[in-house]
Amino acid sequence: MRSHRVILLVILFVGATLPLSTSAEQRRVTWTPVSTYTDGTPIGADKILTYRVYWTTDPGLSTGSLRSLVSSIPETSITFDPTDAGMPRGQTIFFTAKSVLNTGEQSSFSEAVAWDNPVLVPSSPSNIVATDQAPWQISWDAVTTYTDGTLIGPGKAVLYTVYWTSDLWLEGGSLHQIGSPTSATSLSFDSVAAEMAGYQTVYLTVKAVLGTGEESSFSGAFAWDVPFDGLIAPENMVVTDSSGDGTSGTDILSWDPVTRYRNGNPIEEGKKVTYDMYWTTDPGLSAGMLTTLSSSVESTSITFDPSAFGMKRNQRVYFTGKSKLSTGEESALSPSISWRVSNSGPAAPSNGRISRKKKK
Amino acid sequence: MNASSVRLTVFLMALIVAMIVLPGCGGGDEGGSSEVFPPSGSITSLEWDPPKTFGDGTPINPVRDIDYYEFFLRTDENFTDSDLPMAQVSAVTDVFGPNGNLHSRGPTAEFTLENLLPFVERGKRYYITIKAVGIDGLKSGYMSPVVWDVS
Repeated sequence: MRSHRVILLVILFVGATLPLSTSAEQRRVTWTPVSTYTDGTPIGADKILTYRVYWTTDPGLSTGSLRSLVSSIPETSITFDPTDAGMPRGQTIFFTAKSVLNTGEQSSFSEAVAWDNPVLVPSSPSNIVATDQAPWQISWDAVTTYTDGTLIGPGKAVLYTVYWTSDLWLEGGSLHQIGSPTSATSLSFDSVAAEMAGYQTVYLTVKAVLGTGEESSFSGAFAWDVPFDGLIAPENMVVTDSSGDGTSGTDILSWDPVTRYRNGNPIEEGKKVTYDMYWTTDPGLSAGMLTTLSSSVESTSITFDPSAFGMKRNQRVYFTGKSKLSTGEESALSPSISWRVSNSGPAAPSNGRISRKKKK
Repeated sequence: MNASSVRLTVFLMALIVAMIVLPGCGGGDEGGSSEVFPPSGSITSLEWDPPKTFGDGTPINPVRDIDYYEFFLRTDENFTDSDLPMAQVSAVTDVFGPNGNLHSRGPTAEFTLENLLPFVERGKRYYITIKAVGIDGLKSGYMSPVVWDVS
């Protein structure tokens, strides 16, 4: 055995993230190969040289703090995932290494190389879009990467929090959260419940939050003109027979008067409420299927003849309606009520005539 | 009014009429009441065609879908929704064979007007009309009134 010690002329470098957008975060530490002993003599070709690499958060490289990154490799570099390696985010990591001969000789620890393990934050949600027709919904593209382009691991849950503000610059103090954080990439919302005032422009923004707590910055703001959505639709609609004894061919659709906005405030004096009422065979109340029963009526009931409106006997139909203010604002359609048409009795007997027959 | 009570009404009405109109049946006022008419040689009936459809145009089965007919009398043609029926007759008639056994059941399309004589005055002109009442209780409109000159 040679009397001189193995020298480790290891010089470590910690590389930047490999730009592999389809992979998890990968970092690389490299070093210069060792080819001589400490006295400068070459290491013989008959010797096998491998490297051991360690990391620690202790700049003093105390033995007890060292954790193995790799125990024995002949190559002069290794890639690693800081998360998988258990390296704490936001701290300085110190790398050191040893060279080891198969004959047992090994070098001392190399000089430490410091590397700041960055805190990874998810990318901001993008492609924010809000519908311009009720029901209101905001959607965005899923966040799958960190800001450095690396993939967010499959084990990490991404939740999204939606905010609105009237401040284009998304000042934190002015942000109002809409709903609860969701893992979906869309969120239905009620502008009134969210306390958005009608006819103003608000800015919608979304933030991604990892289950481990890391938050993205806010997405770009989506300007959205808040529609008027504050008038209550007709409530408690019922259909009754106009005669009250089930014998009439006409029926009455009635509902409660609308006297307040959805936020509970009373409708201002001087504003008149009228109602548009519809029927349809479509339980989904699609606009194209609605047939007007009455338009702009001030009363809270209408008498209608189902036959006259084309409702077939025993047909299942749905009634809905909306309330309107004299100033032009309209409510959304009310929830429908279902009704089975029992609209007309027999047609009248006909061809009445008097006959006289001889008694038998 | 349900079907059984309707039929009871018709039965009672028919019984009363029979007691008044038919001589020799007993129980009638045989003391010469002006309400009692002597038998005549003919029977006067109101006939009609049962409805073939509901009001909305869908086909109707008169035996299955019509419960009874209501009869209305006025001395003018101006029948109104507030008029009360004078009589009710089942919409289904039992048809018996020559041996007296039930042969079939068919739609009622005739009513003997003598049954209404206790409620009219001889020598007056009346207008008579009917309504069909479905088994769900919904009623038809009035049939075009027919003139009935009570002789």
